[in-house]
Amino acid sequence: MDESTVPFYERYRTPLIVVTVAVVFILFAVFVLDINMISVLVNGLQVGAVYSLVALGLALVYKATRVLNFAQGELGTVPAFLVFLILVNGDRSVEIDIGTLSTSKLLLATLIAIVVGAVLAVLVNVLVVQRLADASPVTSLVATAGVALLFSSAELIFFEAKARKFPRFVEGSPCFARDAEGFCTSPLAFGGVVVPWHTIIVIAVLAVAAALLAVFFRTPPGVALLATAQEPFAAELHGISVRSMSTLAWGTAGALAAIGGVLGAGVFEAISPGLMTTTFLIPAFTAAVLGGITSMVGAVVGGLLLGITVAFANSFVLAQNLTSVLPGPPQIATFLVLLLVLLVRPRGLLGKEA
Amino acid sequence: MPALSAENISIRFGGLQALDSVDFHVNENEIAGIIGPNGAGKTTFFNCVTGFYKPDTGEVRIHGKPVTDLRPDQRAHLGIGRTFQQVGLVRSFTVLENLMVAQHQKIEYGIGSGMIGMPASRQEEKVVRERAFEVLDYLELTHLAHAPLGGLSYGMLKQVEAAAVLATDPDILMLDEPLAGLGPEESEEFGNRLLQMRRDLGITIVIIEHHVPFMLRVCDYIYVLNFGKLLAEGKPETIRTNSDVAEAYMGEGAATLA
Amino acid sequence: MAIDTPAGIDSEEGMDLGAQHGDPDDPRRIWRPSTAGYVGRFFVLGLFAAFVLTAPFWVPDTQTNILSRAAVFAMVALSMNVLMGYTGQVSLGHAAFVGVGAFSAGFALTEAQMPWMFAAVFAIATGGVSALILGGIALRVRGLYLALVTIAYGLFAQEVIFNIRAVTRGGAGMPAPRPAFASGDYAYFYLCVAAVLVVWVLDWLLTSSKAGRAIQALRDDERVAASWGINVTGFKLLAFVVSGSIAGLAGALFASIETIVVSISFGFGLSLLFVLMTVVGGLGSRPGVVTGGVLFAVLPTLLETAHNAWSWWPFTALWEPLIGALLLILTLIFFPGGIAQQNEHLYRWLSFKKFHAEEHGPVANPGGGGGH
Repeated sequence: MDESTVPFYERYRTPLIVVTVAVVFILFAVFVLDINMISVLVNGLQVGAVYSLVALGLALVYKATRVLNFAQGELGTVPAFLVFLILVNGDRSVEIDIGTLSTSKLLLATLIAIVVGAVLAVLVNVLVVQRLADASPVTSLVATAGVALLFSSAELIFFEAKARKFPRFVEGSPCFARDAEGFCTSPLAFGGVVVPWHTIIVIAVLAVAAALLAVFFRTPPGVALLATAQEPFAAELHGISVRSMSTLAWGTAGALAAIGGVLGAGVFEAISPGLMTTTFLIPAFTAAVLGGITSMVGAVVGGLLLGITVAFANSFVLAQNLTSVLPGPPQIATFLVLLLVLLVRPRGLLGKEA
Repeated sequence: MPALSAENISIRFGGLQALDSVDFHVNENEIAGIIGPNGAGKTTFFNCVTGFYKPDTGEVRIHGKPVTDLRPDQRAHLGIGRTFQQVGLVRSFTVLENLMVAQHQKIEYGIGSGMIGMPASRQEEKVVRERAFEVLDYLELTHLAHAPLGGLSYGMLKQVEAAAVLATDPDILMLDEPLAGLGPEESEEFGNRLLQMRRDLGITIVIIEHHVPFMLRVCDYIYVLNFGKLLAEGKPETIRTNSDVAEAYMGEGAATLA
Repeated sequence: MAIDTPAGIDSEEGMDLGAQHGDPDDPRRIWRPSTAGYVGRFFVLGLFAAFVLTAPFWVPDTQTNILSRAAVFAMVALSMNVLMGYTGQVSLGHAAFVGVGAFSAGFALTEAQMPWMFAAVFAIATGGVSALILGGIALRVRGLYLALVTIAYGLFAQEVIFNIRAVTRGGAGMPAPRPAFASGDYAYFYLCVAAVLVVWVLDWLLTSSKAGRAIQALRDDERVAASWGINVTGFKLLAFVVSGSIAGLAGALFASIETIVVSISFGFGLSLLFVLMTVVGGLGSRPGVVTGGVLFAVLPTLLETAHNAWSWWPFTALWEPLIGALLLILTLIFFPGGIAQQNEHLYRWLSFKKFHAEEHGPVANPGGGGGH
């Protein structure tokens, strides 16, 4: 049947159901459970945007090479640690002095980290993943899990098992008025919930990254990449090198991972070995599956939705005083969302294939 | 009552009507053939009958029992055994091991008693091994018993596959292109063997094959599929003279039709 | 219709062929080593057994528990092998099953005051049941998605289940005292070794019976397995349950090594370690995965000992995951069969088979070998 002849409500039936259920649930939460949805949104969007950044990289690599890249998280932690090293001028024994840190130095360090992330990702692809091209997808997943472990244990050896302070690009919140001592008396806030700069920056970066990707897919190399993803054999016949396309995809994913790493460490204002794998990777997998694993838009939407869900789960458990019975609300929410999507709609909200 | 019947089978993949209201039946101890050009839906039909595809409409009956809602392994228990175009064997096993696992549904000891090594199950294992050799002997493949599959040629693998399916002890044997990889002499020999098997084992056989002269020789009844539709059916002599059938084969090489 | 022994393949004809039974080249004869072969094999196996049984006397007393840990890891490797080696399903959350076993044992011992043996049985049951539940859900999806579900389950168990204070006593830990009959470190080590031996034998029985063959057949090709009457989902679930039960027992033994169970012991890193020790050991091979398990259980101690003994030795216990990850990647790329592949002949010989596999050159002539 032609896609265009399908009535709107049938094409988007599942998303519509999901949205309806979500709206009813939110109304219930606000009016019955007395949960502050604005706070949930602000927190959820910040962490969700990082999920989206990691999920974008996962989806891109999966789309181009059919590999689920378990190392996507650590491809972010390693560059973030590089930023740390640059900011402490190579001296691992000290902390970053956030007070005197210049934003331009942080920006420069981040740019270097992005390049390093891209190079690392390409190296992982060439040295490990492409050598397993004939193996099953699960074998590739296990191999990339090995790479993740390699990175995180190297971090552990080099930086030890402790959290270190990590800067945000802009500390604090947008401020409309300050008192005589320079304290902010009127920060940007909705319904009493203060919005930090970092939330705004993370969402803005996600928006820019998604827009750049969308533009990229309309340029010749982007079109070639999409063609390769769909018909590798035919693409090869048209003179597109499958190998260079996979390098392109991995490099882009590595850059995304690095951005995600720097911003993700900023969310916690701290960095520790294995950070991106333990806190962001599984939610990002879930977000990618939720959005439809090969869909870029889906990765963004899935990440934000999951971020909000996780923040909601946190507020819910706190508000209901259930912490001792339901520890780890984010993990509960993530696991339930993953199971729900896989069992009810394996192709995700916006995906075309399972 | 037919050994196997399928009524009004239709299945659609996306925009392609792979099978369109196909009716089929084969009587006990008969050999039925399905011929037709590539992409006519022959293997799709096999998959509908053996339970790997769920047809959109229609009903499959094995010995009169409707099986439409049964899984492939449940249909196998009712006596259907099949081969695959891409040799259906367990690649990491030896020939003997393949024939032993193929007897799965014949083995009576419980899973648990096998797992804790009850004497009765150890005893039955010996019988299973012996029975595997009997099938190998019957098909004159005994010398290959301990061979890993990796070293065997395609034609050889097809024979081992036939042996494995025989080891499942089927009432209805469904062969998907059994002549692939065989030379003219071996095809001839295989035909004789089929006829002998039907006599010896009393089984019903359904064959998919391109090789029309072979089919005209061994089959009691032939169905011709074209673009998912039943183009003709009848006894070999009727099919031989059917002009529609010859025409359907023109693109493929009319010479193959005897 | 009835063909019990496929008729015409009847046994009387078989009897004629029976004349060949004395022929050493008869394929139906099961190969047996010569007397010298038996002696040699028993001698080597005996040496090995003696080495294992005297192991506690070779290491400092403070490290006897490391040996028990090695035995437990060997058992976990056997458990992983059922899923990864036999069915080809990956489990990236296996620490969760081991953890479920450990906390169940701790709960049974401390809260329910059960005798140790009952606690172990309880751990086996909870390990099996949790695997059944997860498998029931996970097997609705396949391949990569199944792997994702196991990862998410591992994280869920670590962060949620093992932190429910009422059941696990949270960060403080749940005591898991050893049984009275094996309270000493040496005795406990022998208990662990005996348990591994039992699991080994059960695993061997599994693979040489109907269920094990079915499970391995569906790993290679689910459609073929189904066409031979094998219930694909059912046997995958069975593999999950067997694997989960073994992991549960391993968890119970693990719990009583340090006599306390703490939730942070069962993190994602441990799951990854389980995967890599199984892969490096050699998927599908009992001796291989057991070697892998033992190797990675003792590796941190070996590294640390070397570090203390030689000033030039740079690698401490911290390096274990890094070395493991490198070995995993190298194994996947260059030696997919792992340690087992390297020692194939030795393992074969020790299991009372020929040192060299049966020689079968490629049979090139299609059909010609049929002898007709």
